Amino acid sequence: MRKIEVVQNILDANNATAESNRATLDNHNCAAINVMAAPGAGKTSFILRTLDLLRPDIKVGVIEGDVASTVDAEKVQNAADAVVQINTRYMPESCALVADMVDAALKKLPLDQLDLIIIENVGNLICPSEFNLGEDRKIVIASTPEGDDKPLKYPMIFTDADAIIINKIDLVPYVDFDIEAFKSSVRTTNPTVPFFEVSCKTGTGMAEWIQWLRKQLQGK
Amino acid sequence: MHEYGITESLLNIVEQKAAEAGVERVAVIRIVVGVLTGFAPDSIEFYFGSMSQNTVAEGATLEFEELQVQLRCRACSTVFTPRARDWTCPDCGSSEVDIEGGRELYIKEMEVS
Repeated sequence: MRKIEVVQNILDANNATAESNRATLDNHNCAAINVMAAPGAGKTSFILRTLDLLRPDIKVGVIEGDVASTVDAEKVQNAADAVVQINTRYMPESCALVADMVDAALKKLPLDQLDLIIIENVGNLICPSEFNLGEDRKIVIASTPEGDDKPLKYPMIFTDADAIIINKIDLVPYVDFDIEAFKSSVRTTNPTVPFFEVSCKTGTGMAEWIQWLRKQLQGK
Repeated sequence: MHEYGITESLLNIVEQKAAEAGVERVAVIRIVVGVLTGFAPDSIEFYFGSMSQNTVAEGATLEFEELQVQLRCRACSTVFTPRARDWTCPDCGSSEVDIEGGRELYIKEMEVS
């Protein structure tokens, strides 16, 4: 019996595919954001609002990740310039999108005609944080009814976020959500991340988010 | 639920390293996993059992070394392992930290014959 030193990251394969996705997107001058949140936080509503405010001057494709249904893709179909649905039920990983799935989806999108790809990840605060997809920015949505303790319970996804959306801000009077406590927990490991307090129902706060997003798109 | 693909990647690495070293059998695989990752060793073992059949790693034992959270204070650079969810620096009380450890997921070494 002898020993072999290995010391190789098991996520290397996924990271390599993510880098290749990024190169593909760069070649087409296309940006990508990865939208992550718990189920019910309002990912699809947020994407619909975002599409409404970006188009038609910015051309947007959407990659919809979901375990089984096409419900979200149908909602987005008429609101985006192109949509690809990924049902993870038939994939090795059903709880998160991985770089291979995004690679397959990118091949189905007319990247030359698009400026931005919005990737809606599977509803989950744990698994998506492990898998880079080749995105330019990671966006995490937390909704106020979920409670302000989520950054303490799921620190990784909030640590890696490039922007955090606090959705359902109109429900603050009715739920126990201390906005400052939430932000302070996130800032422990992510001190400079911008927060956007929005309501996808009323549209409150979306303008600031869109302003930030447009700024990120400059130079792409 | 995301351990299937991870186990596949793990097995790919093991098979590649075994082939490079001209190994007939892999007996033990030592894996380092940080507690902040969402990866469950039990699930990796479960998938590994069936996936490794008819490979050089069939019947290999997986040994997991779990790494605790390690934080570095941004204010005073103290490195510490936090107690539960209180991530404030024990030395200066700052609550801004960088995660130094706890997100690892790698194959450290293999015992082969």
